Amino acid sequence: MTLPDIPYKIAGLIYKQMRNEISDAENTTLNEWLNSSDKQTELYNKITNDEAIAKKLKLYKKFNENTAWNKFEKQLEIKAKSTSRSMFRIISYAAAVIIPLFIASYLFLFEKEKPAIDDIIVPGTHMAVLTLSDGKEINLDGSETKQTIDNEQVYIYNQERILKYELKDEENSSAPENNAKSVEPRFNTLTIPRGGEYSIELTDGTKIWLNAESKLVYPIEFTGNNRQIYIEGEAYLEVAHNSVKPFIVNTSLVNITVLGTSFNIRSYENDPEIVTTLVEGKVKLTGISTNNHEQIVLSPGKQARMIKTTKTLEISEVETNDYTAWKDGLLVFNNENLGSIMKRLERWYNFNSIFESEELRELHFSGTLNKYDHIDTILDMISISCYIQFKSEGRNITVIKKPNNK
Amino acid sequence: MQKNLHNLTKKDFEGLFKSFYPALCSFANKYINNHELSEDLVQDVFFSLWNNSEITTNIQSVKSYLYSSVRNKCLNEIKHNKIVDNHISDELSSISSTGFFHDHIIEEELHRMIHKAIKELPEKCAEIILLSIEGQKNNEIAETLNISVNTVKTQKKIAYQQLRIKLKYLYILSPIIFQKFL
Repeated sequence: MTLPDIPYKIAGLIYKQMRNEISDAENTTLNEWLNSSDKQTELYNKITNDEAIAKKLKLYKKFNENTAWNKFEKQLEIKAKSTSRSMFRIISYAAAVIIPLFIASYLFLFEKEKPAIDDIIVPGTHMAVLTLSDGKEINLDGSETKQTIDNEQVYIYNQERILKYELKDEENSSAPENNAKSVEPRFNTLTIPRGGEYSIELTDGTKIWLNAESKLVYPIEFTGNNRQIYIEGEAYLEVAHNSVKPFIVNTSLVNITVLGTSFNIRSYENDPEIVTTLVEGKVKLTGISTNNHEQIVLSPGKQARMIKTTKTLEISEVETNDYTAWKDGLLVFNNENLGSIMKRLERWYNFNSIFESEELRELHFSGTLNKYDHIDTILDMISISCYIQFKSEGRNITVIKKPNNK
Repeated sequence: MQKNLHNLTKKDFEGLFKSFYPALCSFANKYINNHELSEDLVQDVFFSLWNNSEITTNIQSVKSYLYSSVRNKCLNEIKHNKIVDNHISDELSSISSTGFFHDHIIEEELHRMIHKAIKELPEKCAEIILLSIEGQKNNEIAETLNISVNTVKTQKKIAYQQLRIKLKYLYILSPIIFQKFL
């Protein structure tokens, strides 16, 4: 019995029990389920209650299956003859979403739904692992936790799902060994797994939104004459202004020096490029590969791409919102190729994508979708406009060509 | 004879449709709290099922398909009718949860089977039982169905005997509902 089948199985067992037809083994299974949590017992009592049943049967009567069937039969005839009706439905559906205009209308004629992907693949949530300077790990889920770390000198807490730090007064920690220790910067690491996201406010007031499968290394306190952090994956930063202490973001190939600004950085290990998008302020990029110390200054609305294979920086003008919308709960694809789209979805929904043929990676899609939507919804939107289908099995989703290219 | 992509005859499909329709509407209503819209969504889901060749005729996969599709449609409905907010409301995240989904499958499936057992009674008999569950008295049922009060009583006895077999537990442990039967 797979996990999604359990509720059907449980309903069957309760029904059998009500009919007094339940076997001992089945009864054991049912009791195990009942005892697994108070909520199950509560549910059981609620739905086997005779008043609830009477009420439900009354409701069922309102949803008259015979009237509905007659309507359904008529619809079958109408839809077989004419397709305009479903066209209208789909257009209103599409209006909610930006869909490329070039979609062949034929695609809409039959709104075929694939079987819903099991609930194995779900949108990401607030989660991260905080690794302290002593190697201790704390799991974070956005709930209001409060604790002190680093020999009671630092206080961490979650406020509105943002991880915050509060430094205790130096005078209070007068133990000599502690003072000696605090001279060295203590680094913490915030690791966001696949299917996670998290936000943090550093002790200088800089806010950082971290996307799925990302990592941030930062000192608890910025003690030197600059503020340095390390980022892997994707992050949006609102750097607190401090003209005396420049803020430096280190990535595998580029260092970004900022004074006070908002920008997005996408630097995943398995992406071919490191993308920096500047929303406001000014940043300076420095290539750090051995043969290239190229420097570039970005102005707002500009994007710099460090191409990993050639180690060169390319600059272009972009709609910055496309690159920062993820922190506001959206998935924005602007004529993006399917290879890159699936990679982004994999990180957020935590699955593996497989392409039936490589050329499918080159299909392009545009759209603005809600990133907390069920994966089915996202894939539906893409398949409608890209002439493809998705097949899911466990955590694998395969992209296949739509059969019968009519 | 009209057949769909599973090679189910229309008659078979009708049986499937009628057996699940009320429960799926009630299930949809849990999400969107709108009877009319719930019925429309369920009609759509059956239409997709009729045209879907990828589903096997295995009853478990059909059930999963139906409940999952109705749920997805409802969640889409909710989200498409709301402005995308930075923070989805607690209510929305709670009804989007797998726990909510599973609890309501259990509830609806159980009640669907009970409903089905009653529906399998002789037609008049089932009709009388359903009216009596609604709280109608014997003379009221007689009036509604244009039959004599004695017929109502006789039919109730038949129902009583049959349901005792079909729903022993319900009969023994649910005095209220069976008081209404008698």
